[in-house]
Amino acid sequence: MAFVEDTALFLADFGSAATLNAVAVTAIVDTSSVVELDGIVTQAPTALLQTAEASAAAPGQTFAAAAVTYKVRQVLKEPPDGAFTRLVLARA
Amino acid sequence: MALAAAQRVDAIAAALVPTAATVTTDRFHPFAESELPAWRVTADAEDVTASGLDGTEEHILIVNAEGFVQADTGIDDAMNDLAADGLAAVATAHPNTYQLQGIDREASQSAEACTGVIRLRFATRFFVSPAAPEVIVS
Repeated sequence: MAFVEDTALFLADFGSAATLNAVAVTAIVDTSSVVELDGIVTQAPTALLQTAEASAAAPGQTFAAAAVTYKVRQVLKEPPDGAFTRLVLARA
Repeated sequence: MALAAAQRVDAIAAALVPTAATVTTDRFHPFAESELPAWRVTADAEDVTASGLDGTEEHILIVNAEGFVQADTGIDDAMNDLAADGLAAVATAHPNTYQLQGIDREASQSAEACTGVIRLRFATRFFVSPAAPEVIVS
């Protein structure tokens, strides 16, 4: 029997409500602190969505989650099959 | 008083204060985003030669002024604007004291917004007596 992944189930358990370009989506928002250029401590927030919900995602769009508004900087398909899309964010 | 080289570093740092949110001479100070734009001023190589029969030494000190910026777009403009302000401030506060030797740029876009650093490398010359390393003779 072929294995069929249910990405919606994954996000239902671990994701939270958000909006992408004013459209409701479910996403997992991660952030981490990074040290850049040997001198700047900054943040690297990203959001993981089903590609089906992010098919029209594009740099410059607005993403909002947990009362924080971000601007989409990069749209990256996740390996191995692109079922998930990761948005690289900047706080707006 | 401080070692003559430190005095020259401090003088540049003081001149740069009006041009940025933060200026430090702490070599390992990590800047938070709220502290940008920022300058980090540190001493680099210092060459010393005897210049007189009385033992007076000529020092040629390299001072690095690193300007850190963050910008969603136009990171090069942000770096160049900070450098322009910094160069003008140093030249105005200390004319003919610091000779610009070179400018380096580096940028990164791995975090939420582009960050960049523009490094100004100055050379400065001064004379001190070996017995009084904290006193700049000229």
